[in-house]
Amino acid sequence: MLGWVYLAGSDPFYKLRRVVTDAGIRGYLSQNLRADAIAGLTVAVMGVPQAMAYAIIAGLPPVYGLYTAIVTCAVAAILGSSRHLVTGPTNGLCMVMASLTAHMIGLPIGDKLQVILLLSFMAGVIQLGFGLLRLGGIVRYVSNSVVIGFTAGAGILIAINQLKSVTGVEYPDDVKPTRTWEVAYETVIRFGDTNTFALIIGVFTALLVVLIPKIHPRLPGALIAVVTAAVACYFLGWDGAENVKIAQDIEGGIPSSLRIFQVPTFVSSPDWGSAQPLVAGAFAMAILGLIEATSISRSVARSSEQRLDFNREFIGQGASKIVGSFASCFAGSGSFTRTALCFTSGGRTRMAAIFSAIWTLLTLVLLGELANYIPIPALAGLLIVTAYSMVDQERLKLSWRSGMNSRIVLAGTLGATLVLPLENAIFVGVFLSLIVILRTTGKTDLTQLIPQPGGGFDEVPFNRAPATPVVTVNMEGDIYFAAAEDLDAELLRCITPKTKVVVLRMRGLRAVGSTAMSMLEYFWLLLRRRNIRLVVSGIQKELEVVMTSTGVRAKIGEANIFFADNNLFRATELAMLRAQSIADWERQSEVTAKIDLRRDRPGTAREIMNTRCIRFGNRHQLREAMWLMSELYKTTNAISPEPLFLQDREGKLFGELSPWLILDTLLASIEVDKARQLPDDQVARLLRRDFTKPIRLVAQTDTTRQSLDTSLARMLKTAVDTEQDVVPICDDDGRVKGLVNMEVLMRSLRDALAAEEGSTEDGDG
Amino acid sequence: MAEDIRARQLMLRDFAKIRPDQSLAEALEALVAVQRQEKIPNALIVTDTSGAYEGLLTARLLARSLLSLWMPEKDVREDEDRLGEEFLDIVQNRLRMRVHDALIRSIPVVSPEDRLLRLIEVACDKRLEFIVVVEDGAVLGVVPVTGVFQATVSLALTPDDEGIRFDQKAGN
Repeated sequence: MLGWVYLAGSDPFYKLRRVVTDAGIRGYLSQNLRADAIAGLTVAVMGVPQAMAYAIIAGLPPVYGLYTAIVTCAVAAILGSSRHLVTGPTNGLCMVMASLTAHMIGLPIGDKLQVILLLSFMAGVIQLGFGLLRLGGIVRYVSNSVVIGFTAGAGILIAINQLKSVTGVEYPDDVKPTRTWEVAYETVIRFGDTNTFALIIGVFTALLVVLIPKIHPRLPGALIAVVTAAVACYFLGWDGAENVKIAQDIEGGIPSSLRIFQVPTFVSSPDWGSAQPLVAGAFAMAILGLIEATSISRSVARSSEQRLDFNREFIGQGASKIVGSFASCFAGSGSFTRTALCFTSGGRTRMAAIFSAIWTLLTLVLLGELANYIPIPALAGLLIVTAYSMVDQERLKLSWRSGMNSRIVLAGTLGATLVLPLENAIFVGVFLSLIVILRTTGKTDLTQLIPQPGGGFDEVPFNRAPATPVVTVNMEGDIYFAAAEDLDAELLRCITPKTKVVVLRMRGLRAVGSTAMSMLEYFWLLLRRRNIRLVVSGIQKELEVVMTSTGVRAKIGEANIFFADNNLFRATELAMLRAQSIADWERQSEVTAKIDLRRDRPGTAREIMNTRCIRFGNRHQLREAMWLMSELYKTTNAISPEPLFLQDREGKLFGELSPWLILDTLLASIEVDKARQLPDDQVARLLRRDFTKPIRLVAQTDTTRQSLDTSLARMLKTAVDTEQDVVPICDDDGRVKGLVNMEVLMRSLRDALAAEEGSTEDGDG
Repeated sequence: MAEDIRARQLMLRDFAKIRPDQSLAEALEALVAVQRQEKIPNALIVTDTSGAYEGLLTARLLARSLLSLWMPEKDVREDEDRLGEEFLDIVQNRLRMRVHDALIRSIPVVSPEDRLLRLIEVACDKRLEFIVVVEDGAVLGVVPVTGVFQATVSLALTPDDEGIRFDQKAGN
């Protein structure tokens, strides 16, 4: 241990060495290397044609797709959080880049590339900023329907855009369609000029891409299809005389010597003026990239049981774009198909994605020149199949059936994707998501609680409870300014002509703001105008602070506020008891409206005494009294210590026997210090010594008794002064007629206070 | 030989709690509320935010807090209406006090392993209706004095002691 401490403290490379030697590289080499290498190869086999095709979507030569599949993939894998996410070119982002550079049709590819690199760099900076500011959680607020709608819309656009390539139609020099519908129009009117060979290659490739996985699911359909098309095209000689465009025809194709790392012009000759119009587009790309990457990594993490750090994922995605923009890479993001393939092919660590980058690099270096023979219609055919899969009917149906909110976001995003520039479509989707969140969270759910005889509550929909004097409303959800709007008017709907008190259970409320307090205050006022009292319960600390600082607490009155505790409904039960006593008093006061409230407040002994008390003769032995009291406690399940009242032969109160008096008597008969050393059965024998003692010698005979007309104030005062928990109530002859215990006195006191408050408020009002 | 009776066996584990910073008005409402609950002691255990035991509040102790040192003048004592008015004024005033200010801190507590004899001693010492069982500063339960009484009876009373003998000379 000491050695470890010494090494850890003195050797700066100790940790690194530990990683290398122990569970780190050595363990990796023996356990995961093979699996990751194979998974990476599988991903690369599928990814190479995809990457080339996606570059074409973005309007760039295919080689840039390969660069992106190498550099962004490796950087994101190293710095990101997910162990399985494969980053690289994605159809959605490529469509956005195509949309953002649509106005550059006809300009040299180099100019377009520089704009795309700048866009990618800016999107990367935005993503990196999000990650460093720990805003990883914000993607939660973008609905999944945005991704589904956008992907489906982008799929339709990709398919339409590829019609030109797959038909081999050429536009005249003066025709430069920028929008998808223009492409569709210009292509359709020239269907007569369709290049049959290009069409055959495109359809052939598409068919192979579809059919090969049906023959064997693990066969790389895209690679086989594209390679077969290239071989066929080459040997049939269609790439020459018949003019089927091949990769080489686009800006010279894949160069024999790679020049990946180049300083982009936005660094060598910065022009911030030209960057400004791109900010919104870069922002849209950043958001889309993050949504794609996080949703894909999350879905894989569910299977791999990995706990993701979205802030780190943001950093990885951002850094991959920033580094990529210096390596001729356009913006990439998480690819669903390649990520899923990586996981299902047995990829265990982030090295699988790095291996896919390495395999792609090897393919580019070793087979790059051969890739120049890939026909563009073949890549278009591949893209049309990909586009078809992007219109995911299952997920579209699921989203459509998931309620009106999902439907609005889905339809809005899909519609916007088809009609608007894609960067704006993303903003529409995000905006709709936020609107839906506000609509959902900006609502306070109201239900009513009905107390049940056996305890507990039944919860019923708001305004469906039977009309009763006490109305209990359960409020849940957010109550910030958006939710508080009109809530007071809504709450009034539960009022009926019978209502005397409204209890608001506010335990489940969140985000309480000043607007909500204004609402509560106004509601209190509205009730007051209707002579209805307000009691609030389940008040949490946050709400208590706001209520106090805004003065609402003082208005509602301390007696009418019940604070939340650990017991879920206790505060509400207390509040309802309070409400019930107010309602009872209101009812009484209606009956005796003409009588002076202060003189006739309830609570004389006659009204509140319990007539069921045990009277016992004073000539018995202590053991009999003990047995009787014990039976009494057993029968009534008593927790409170009711005494035994003793009476003489004429039935007059003689005295009382309380449990304390009996226990004290028993204790007095033994030597306690010695008894402590004895087991219980021997102590019991000692305690029996005074069992036969006459109770008249034990009883407390100076019990203060009260008459039937004694007021509550006097009874309580006497009970406190004489330390009597139970006051016997006697008639004029001294016979016990009943008893009033401390619990009854407390209950009566509470009722009297409620009555007093009611009368004072009436006087004030 | 039967095992000795311990506080742990007699205590009720369900009990109502209140914080020391709550008002006596809330304590009153809480006490009234727990009266309706079966098998829950009619008392409030005062605990701080960490759950540590601070004190006990029973109806008797609350009444004492509300009315102790209230000495109405003779003419008020003799006039039921004025007595009632002054009484309510006093009570309303004192209900604003915090539980913390009304606590009697000298009330003894027991540990779960304390034996019956100790419980009898503690109950009789201050005429406690409820004895609080505390372990490591946290309240485990409450032993009602009726529970102590019943345990004593079950221990000391034999079958011969049961029933009431009406043939005694002194009986009525």
